Amino acid sequence: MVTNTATTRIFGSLKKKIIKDIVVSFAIGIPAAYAWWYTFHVDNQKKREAWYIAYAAKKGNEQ
Amino acid sequence: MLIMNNYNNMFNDVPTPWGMYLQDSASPMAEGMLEVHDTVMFYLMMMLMLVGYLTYSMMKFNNKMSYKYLTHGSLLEFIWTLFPVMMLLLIAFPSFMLLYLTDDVIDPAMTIKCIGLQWYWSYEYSDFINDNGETISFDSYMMPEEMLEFGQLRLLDVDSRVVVPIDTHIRFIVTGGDVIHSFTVPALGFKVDATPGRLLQISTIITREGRFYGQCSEICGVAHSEMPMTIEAVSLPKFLDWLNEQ
Repeated sequence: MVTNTATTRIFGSLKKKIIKDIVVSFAIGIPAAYAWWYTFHVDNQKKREAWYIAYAAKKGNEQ
Repeated sequence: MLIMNNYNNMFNDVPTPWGMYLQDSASPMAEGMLEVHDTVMFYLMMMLMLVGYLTYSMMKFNNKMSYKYLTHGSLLEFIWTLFPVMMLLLIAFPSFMLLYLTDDVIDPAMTIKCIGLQWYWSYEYSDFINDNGETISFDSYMMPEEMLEFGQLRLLDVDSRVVVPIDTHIRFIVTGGDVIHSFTVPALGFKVDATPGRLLQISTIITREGRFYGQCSEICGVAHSEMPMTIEAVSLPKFLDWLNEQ
């Protein structure tokens, strides 16, 4: 029940804050996760695959 | 991350100073482990940022008591239950797939028996016999520091290496002769306990030539750190030459 008060009541500031916090943390977290995946994992995988292709070619030449 | 990439090219088959990642894989199983590790890291990165930012938000200046009056919230509770469950499921599925894949030993071309003893490893090539009709077997001791030759690694190199062919399905049967040891080769994705009275098996196909090092990974006594294992993967003709010499 809303009663008259001398000062203006503040509604919903906590809810806004937690929504903002979650949105901001995901906004940082998702790009960070994709950065890990594409700059480290995929890059590493490409290097490994390139190495194995060269290795297969070398083995083929030796045989 | 880019700096880490420069440290982790091929031939990284031993622990290196300042090494911050896993050793390079030399078998499909180790490859799968790297994949699962990186997948888990993807979700961890997201969670790290989530928890990190929320902590920062609560502790930053002028905002010390930011959630002081947040005493009840059904929706929030629902979210913080559902989100970790989803994360755990996303991590569990690839982990279980890998776990069951590593358990499969289908039609291996050769078998090597590895017996952990205080404090050395004994190997038997059960499929091959020498001129006397005996199974090929040998003991493998760590190279003492004073006998190390140039290029050999302290606490990792042994006097007799396990020589195996590449691109061949090999089964390792592991057991212990006295106490529990652990047969571990990170580059091949192995870690099998060598338990006395019990045979455990693991199989692999080594995809490239090289020397792969490992150390006993179950505390087994005073010289636990002095019973490494070295697997030397060579081409099939070289392996046959080595067999003929035995």
